[in-house]
Amino acid sequence: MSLLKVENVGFAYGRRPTLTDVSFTLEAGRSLGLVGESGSGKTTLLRLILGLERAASGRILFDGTAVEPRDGGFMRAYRRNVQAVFQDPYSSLDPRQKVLRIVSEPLRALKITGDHTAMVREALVQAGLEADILDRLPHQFSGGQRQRIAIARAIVARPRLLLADEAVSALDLSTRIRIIELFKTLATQMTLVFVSHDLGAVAALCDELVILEKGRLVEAGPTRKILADPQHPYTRTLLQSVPRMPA
Amino acid sequence: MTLLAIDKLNLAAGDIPLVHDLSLSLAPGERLGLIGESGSGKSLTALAAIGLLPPAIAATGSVTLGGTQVIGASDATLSRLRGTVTATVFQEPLTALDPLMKIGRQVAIPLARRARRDGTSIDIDREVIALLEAVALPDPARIARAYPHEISGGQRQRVAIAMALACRPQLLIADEPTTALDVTTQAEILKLLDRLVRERNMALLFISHDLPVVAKIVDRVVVLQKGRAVEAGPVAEVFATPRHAYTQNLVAAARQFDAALEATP
Repeated sequence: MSLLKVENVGFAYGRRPTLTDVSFTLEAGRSLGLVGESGSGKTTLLRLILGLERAASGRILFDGTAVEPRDGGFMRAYRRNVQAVFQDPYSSLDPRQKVLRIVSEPLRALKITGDHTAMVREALVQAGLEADILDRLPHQFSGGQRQRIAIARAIVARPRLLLADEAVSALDLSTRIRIIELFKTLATQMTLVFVSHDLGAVAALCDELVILEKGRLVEAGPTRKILADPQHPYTRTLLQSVPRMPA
Repeated sequence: MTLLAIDKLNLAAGDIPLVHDLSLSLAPGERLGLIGESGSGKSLTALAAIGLLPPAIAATGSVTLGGTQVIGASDATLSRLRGTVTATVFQEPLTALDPLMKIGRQVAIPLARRARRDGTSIDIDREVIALLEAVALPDPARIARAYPHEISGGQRQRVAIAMALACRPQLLIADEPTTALDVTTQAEILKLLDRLVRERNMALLFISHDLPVVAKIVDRVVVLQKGRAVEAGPVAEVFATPRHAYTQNLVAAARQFDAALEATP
């Protein structure tokens, strides 16, 4: 059974449709890139998957069960399975809290018992950081390190699905490569949905692609297949627009 | 004659050095790219070139624009240089435009200034439309009546470019002009800049962290790392055979993304 199933999902802010009839499935252990430009609806779709909004039509199934944002009991269990990393590592970490408190937040929120400090240390190491930074504050770290802290927080509760919203877009080129490598490693341990406008980053990371244009899914399939033989004119335009290095 | 000459420029905030001993020059019609990651000092260098450094940053060395010294120059001198010699397009068109003023009125300001400067009388409304046409905006009359929030990001950047062109500068400085834009819009804006710089015989100082974008539009590059120029030369040469380890890393990273996109099934 697929881990994530998006079925004919529609959503509108007011009267303007943001998503129209979007459907795709994602098998456990695979990584999926949700690609689109501004206004494509990719962030809205991510919010729906996270359960922050409720689909106006259609439904989203996680492991066979419909995601129901209004059902508190379901959402508590769902949070344990689904965690997210966002774009800006400067605004996503509370500047007044130490690393230990930041990374252990999901453990407290989800009432997970056990040795939180040990779990945080393990998550930090998994995110490529030293385990002894527990008492430090966010401003003592670079942008790339902060994003690693945000990733440690997202994986500390051992979710089955990790959602990343433009999680490498604000990073410098060399840092971006290293964080993508980290996501690649994590993708061997969990299912990943990686939302990005950056086709290069998605191509480097994801097994599968979903291309969105103005709220509609225009193309979906294995990354390599789409890159080698894009079917939809919009996908072709998108690919041709990516600037490449001179030969 | 050199249009922009930066000689042994040092910038510092208190004791913290930000740009160290930077020298570069740009002749009329030349296109130079300034590349580097965040904190490399590339945007500060651009601000130093147009005399817009924040007061807390101390500059030593020399920056001349059209032969006039910028460092320590009076506001009146700088004001004259910005317009006759150079104009700048910044990254974020939404903050570069006044949200409370219609596009047409904003574009009219530099046009009126140029007319005063040249002592000529012009039909401002017609010139506004002509400029909006020059940057390939659809339905220029409608855009002129619109407020910035009523048009798209790509259209706003075209308006910012139109305003930069209004004074007919000899040097266009573009600081990450496509970074905030979607990839398809970025491709269009790069094409537009390329055409305008060529047609109007301007020099271009293009600042970006994005190597392939820079490669598309400039002839020469200077690579900045933590405020120091670590490598400089023709863009094709520098990207083909980077000599400095830092440039080698950047080029390798950029090629890694290219390779990912070239995947075969």
